[in-house]
Amino acid sequence: MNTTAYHVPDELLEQYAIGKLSDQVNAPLEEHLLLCQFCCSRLEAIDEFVRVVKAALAKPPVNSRATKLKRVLVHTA
Amino acid sequence: MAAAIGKLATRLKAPLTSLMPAHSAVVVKTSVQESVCTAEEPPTSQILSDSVNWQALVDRVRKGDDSGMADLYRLFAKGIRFYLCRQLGAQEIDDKIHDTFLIVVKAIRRGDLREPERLMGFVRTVVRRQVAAHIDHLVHRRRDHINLDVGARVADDRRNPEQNAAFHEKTALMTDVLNQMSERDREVLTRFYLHEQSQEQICDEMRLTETQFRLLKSRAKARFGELGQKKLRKRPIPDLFVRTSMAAAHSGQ
Repeated sequence: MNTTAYHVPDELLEQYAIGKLSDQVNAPLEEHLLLCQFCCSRLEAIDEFVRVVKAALAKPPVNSRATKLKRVLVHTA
Repeated sequence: MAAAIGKLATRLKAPLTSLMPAHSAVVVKTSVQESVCTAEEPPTSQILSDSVNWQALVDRVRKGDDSGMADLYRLFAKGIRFYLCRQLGAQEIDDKIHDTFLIVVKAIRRGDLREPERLMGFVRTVVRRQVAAHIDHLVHRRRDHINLDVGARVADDRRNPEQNAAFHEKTALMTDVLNQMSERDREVLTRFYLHEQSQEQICDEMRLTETQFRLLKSRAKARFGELGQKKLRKRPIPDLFVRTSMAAAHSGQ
């Protein structure tokens, strides 16, 4: 059952997912999530995206020159 | 659903436990019809709608009306499941949901919920306390366990091997996306997602406008999505694993 007419903007959901919201904002947002399946599924996707970005960013960046060279080689192959 | 309500009704015969009333105001607008557009303003500005009659619902639950209990369950079960699952994982989730409903219904019957329109806030408070109690229990158990068995490893039960593989694949895609970015763009994302700096701080220190910041993030998401789609197109699912309508009909589903 989805009973909400309004949905939480992506930006706010992302901040919630990262834990950057104050309890003043958290409280109504979580109350909304208790009733809104649409926002729950969006939050689930955002949670996953945040986990993936964090994991990817935790890896050291590949040397950009080597990456460019690799891309050129792939294109020419 | 009926079984769940039945189980809940049976457990209600147990001794009552005390519970404080909800503290926060309910500010989410509700309606039976769902709109797919997202609100531009935060939910704090949204106003309680009269489409769900909280007073009537609470009254029905207070009187022990089964349909009231069923409506309460139908309204909150998925949201509670999602919240508990997100915080604690899927283990024993059904028991936790039932415990939550048990506490809510008992409190309503006892008359602890003085303002029925605050039911959502009340439910949230109960769910949060359930989470806190569970974490507290885990901490104590782990401490006792560690005393007995030093060096024991606790398995991460959040993901199964299939989910782990999917996660690693997505991470590899994201790594590709990040490697194609300029160092400055990557730094913005690192500061935001990894170091958890605020948008204001990042924009201030890196001399970015709010729009530039948002664009950068949305471009990264779009590129990630594009790469994912491309990868899916490159590796179509083998026919063997595609469930055809014929096969479904044959299996009687």
